Amino acid sequence: MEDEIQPLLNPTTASASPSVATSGASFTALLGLPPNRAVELLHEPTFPSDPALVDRAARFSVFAAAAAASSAPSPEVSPPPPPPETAKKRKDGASTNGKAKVKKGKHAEEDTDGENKLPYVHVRARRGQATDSHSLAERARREKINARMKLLQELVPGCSKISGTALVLDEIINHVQYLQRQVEYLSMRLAAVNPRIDFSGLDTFLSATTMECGRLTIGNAKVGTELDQQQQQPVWSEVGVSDSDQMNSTTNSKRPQIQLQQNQLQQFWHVDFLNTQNHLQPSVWERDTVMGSTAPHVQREEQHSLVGPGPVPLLAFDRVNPVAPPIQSNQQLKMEL
Amino acid sequence: MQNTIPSKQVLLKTFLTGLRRRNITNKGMTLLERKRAIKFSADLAMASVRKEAKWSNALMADLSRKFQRKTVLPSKHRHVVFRGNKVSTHKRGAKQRRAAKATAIAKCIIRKREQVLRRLVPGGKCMDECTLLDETLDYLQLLKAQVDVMRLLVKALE
Repeated sequence: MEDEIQPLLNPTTASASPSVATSGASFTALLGLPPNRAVELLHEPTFPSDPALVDRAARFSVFAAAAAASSAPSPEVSPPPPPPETAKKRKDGASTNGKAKVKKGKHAEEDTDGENKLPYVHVRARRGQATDSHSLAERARREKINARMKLLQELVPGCSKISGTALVLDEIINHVQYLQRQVEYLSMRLAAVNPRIDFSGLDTFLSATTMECGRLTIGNAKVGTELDQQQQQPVWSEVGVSDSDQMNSTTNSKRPQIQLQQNQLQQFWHVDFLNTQNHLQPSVWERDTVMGSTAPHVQREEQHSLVGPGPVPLLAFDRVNPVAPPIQSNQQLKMEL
Repeated sequence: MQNTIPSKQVLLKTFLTGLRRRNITNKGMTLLERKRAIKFSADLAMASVRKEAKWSNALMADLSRKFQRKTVLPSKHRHVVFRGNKVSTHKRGAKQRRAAKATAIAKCIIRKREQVLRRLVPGGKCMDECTLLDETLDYLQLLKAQVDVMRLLVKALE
């Protein structure tokens, strides 16, 4: 028995150690893949996306070796790659049989090996459990499902206290239905709000901001509140010039230097609004074409081309109302985004 | 690296781009038509943010079908339900039989819930359990982001 165990153990440790060296208690280390394949998997876009969820997925998933995971729970855990997982469903009955025979009664933990070419899952049998290939496969599948159920439990609010798959599934279904109903309701509200606002006009301003935001920092919810005084001053002085062309060129040059800071952007927008109100349509479209040419062209299903000077910009529809409310709404949007 | 939590700015931008292209105006559209168009753009924006997920592709296929104004066909898929109820034999004692019945009932309930989930998540009919849970996870995240974005928009426009 011991002779059989040793050679099987040695390749696993040999393959596991380099990847452990590269990335702590990461998921791929537990998979025992060589580092280059691990890097490939790292770059593979997969879900789940939340780092906390990923961490938990690595902890709870089938492939978590108990000892290794508990020793070093590193925050930078690489995502468990679901596509290779599903590919790993093809299990080699013979190899698992061989391993199962060997490991029976010896190891309390589960460990998996990923081979380079054929992604098979090798699951070790626990003490006192059936070791034929069918039950092994079933057990691996069941544990995969349980791991995902745990992740879902954490995502859905109020589910962590509930025990039992059926009730948790119930909650998940309720939550999905609730969110879908919310989307319907909110779209109804937006449709009701619509008569006041021409969407085409609103869109240009918001798209311009979001394009800038996208270039500088994406998804940064916590924006620093302290202003960078030195950087703010040039923006102010250059934006103050009434000539729109000059503004365009200076904003183009300043853009890579400007950090995305909340107040700064708001004030930039404030001045922007005033300027465009002075110059109305030509300046809006000019600015947009300049920005549009330099912005990275985002590949979407619908290719948005800038609309010609047909639709009136946002401000024009309501001249009686001062500029304040739209600016405030945009500021609100920016603050919350 | 890994997928980021869907950036709300990206969602908003895609959403508004789609809305603008649809040319939603006050005249020529009733409330319901507008709402439908808005929901369409919202779904499209949501699906295009996460292109590598299965539900996303299924959603896009569904939307393209709707876009061409075909009536939504009632899906006549027959999802195979695995009954899997074992024929009980008198191998075990009464207590174990009760336990087995309980687990069988639980399994039935779980299977029913799973079917409902398949109907909810786009493209769920053609997935196995594991993938279904994965896709639900992803779908939930994006739905949350979508709802947040729309709430912000509503708040900003009112």
